[in-house]
Amino acid sequence: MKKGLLLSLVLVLLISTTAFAISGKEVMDEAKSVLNDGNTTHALMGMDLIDKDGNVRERTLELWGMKYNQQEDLSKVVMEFQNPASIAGTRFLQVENKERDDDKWIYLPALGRVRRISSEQGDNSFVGSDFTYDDLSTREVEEDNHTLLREETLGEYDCYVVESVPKNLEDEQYAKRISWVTKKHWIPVRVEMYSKKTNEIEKLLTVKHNIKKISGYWTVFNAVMEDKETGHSTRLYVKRNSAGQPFIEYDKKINEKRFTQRYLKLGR
Amino acid sequence: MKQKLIAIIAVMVIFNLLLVPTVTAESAFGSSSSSSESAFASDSFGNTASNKLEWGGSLELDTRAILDKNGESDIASTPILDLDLNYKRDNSELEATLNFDDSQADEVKIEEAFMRLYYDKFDLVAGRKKEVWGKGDKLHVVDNLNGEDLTDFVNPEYLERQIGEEMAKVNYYLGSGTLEAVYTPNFTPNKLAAEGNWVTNQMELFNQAGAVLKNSGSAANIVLASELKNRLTSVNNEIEDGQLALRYTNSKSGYDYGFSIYQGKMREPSMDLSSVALIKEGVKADNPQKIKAGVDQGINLHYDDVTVLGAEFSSVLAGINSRAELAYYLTDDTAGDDREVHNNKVAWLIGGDRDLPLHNLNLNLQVKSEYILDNDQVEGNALDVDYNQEDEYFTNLVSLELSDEFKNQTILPSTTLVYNVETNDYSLDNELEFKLKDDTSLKFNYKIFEGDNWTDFGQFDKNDYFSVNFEYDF
Repeated sequence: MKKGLLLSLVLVLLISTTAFAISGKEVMDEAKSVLNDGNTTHALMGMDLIDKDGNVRERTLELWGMKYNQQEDLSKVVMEFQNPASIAGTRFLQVENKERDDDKWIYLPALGRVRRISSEQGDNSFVGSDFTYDDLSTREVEEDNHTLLREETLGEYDCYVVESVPKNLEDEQYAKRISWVTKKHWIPVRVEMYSKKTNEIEKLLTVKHNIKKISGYWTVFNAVMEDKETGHSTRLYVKRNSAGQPFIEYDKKINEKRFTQRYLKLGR
Repeated sequence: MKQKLIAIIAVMVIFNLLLVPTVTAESAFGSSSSSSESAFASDSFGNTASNKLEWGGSLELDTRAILDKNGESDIASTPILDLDLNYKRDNSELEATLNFDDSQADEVKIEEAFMRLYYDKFDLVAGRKKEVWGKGDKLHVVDNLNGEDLTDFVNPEYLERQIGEEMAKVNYYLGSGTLEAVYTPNFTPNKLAAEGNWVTNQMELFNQAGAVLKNSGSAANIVLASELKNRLTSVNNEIEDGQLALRYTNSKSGYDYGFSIYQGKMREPSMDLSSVALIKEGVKADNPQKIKAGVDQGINLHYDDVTVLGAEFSSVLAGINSRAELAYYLTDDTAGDDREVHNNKVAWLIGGDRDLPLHNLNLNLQVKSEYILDNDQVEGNALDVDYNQEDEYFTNLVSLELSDEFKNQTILPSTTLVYNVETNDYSLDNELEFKLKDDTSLKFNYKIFEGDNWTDFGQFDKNDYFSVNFEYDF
């Protein structure tokens, strides 16, 4: 199954190199070997929804991820909204599966119970943001044909510019993607997503050029997804404490009970 | 009965003192062994403070205009404040929700107030609580523990209609499964409107009977009218008879399932309909003696004992978030021939929702069905509590909701149809919500009720309304 939505919230910031290969499978396999997002991940993130007039709706969410099957690279992720008040206490749980769709549950305080939800929500907006569920799911390399267009410098990073065209366009959200992948970290710092209707840029993902290693893992701290058609954008970032330290950590012990429906309902 | 609950709470407190809670210490976040790059002070970044009282809630200003069929309107505006309090400690917490609503008789209401003690394999809950069981979406056949406040009919959301019940509850965790056991010292039936726009036909009959008795001028009849009112309103109060329920739920291979058993009472009252028939005749003829005869005969308002065996299921089937519930209601009238006791029945709910391939449309369809057993004993017998005018004993209620979202979920239109198939009555709620800010919303509703006067929705045929609701969450 596709890499899960919720963990991908962090992966949008970690950005997996598997999503944007510079060329064929060998390169991708090498790029994939660079990818390691830790056995556990824990992050406090901000999600700012910004309309075209610059009005901001702020959301804070906390996320825990854990690989529960190292061999198959399967993860469990739980995410909890801390604010605003209207959605505080809303929790998601996702369990990746190998042979079938991922299990997903949501707890909505207004319903007072845990509810199973479908994994097949591809091009729907994730909680009102400019990220769709598909945007937050890393793609298999084999799903696209990749062409190295050029090499160029973007800001402070030397990048490969790669065009990725889906092999099966009918089932896809975008006509193609063009990614600027850093040579240093194998991280795409700019991704143009092209509309199937107009073949113009529909959405643009840009990553702030402050990529650093945390616990040995390259980490992106700030990314913006902009909808070029509506002018709306979403900023996803790792929150920091008053001393400026980022609220993200890897490979720390996380109680497995956090990835249960009990936690979804009770919050502990 | 309150003493019973106090005793339960006392036992729990002692239990808590004797047992050392053993919730496993989680990550090493914030410990000395943590990475120096970590900014964490606890296992949860945003909720670092424990032993602290937190509060939140919402303020609503609801203005509703009942649009009379004659073109006249009746406008009422109500501010409602919900205050949520939460006090957390390492292995326990206290939660309370207070409701301030000056349109209600009890202006300040404790909706919920309970404590929860956490242990490794189980947790204990005691206090007033709303407990929703079943996989349905605001429609259930296995959710029996709380009564419903129907004084505003079904206009509030499902959870808002629930009446908190004092209970002691144990949740025991067995692998991925959960076993829940609940005991409530009292039973609270559904609460019906005694006055106002949402008085049911039957309650209206008793109101009219009371008026006829009072207008007769006889002191004895005035006393009787008062007594009649007392009898009817007393059934809206708690009944000192407990409920006991068990439920086991689990998830496996993409399927969520559960089984439950409930021992308690039916939430809708039963009565001697021959007495009611006399009262009805008396009201029609404006004859206080007939009404008196009916009352003297004994209405025998009561709530039938019932055992409900339930099963529930949910999964994603063909992209549809599918849900189902099944329940067998076992009453004392197993032969179906006791006209004052509800017959046994089977009820089920099947439905699901999925996104449609058009904009952000979502369609949610559920069908709730009931089949009354031994209905041959009821057919044509207008004095049986299960009798209905159409002699239909297999009934289906369809709930259909179509919703969409625009501008990054800031404009949320929806339309909801709830339709009784056999009696051809329905309510249609058209809603348009604007999220002005993340914590502030403005909601417009236009709700229509249609059907024959004796049907569930048709009795409120003259209560179509337009409402504006302003809500601020804090």
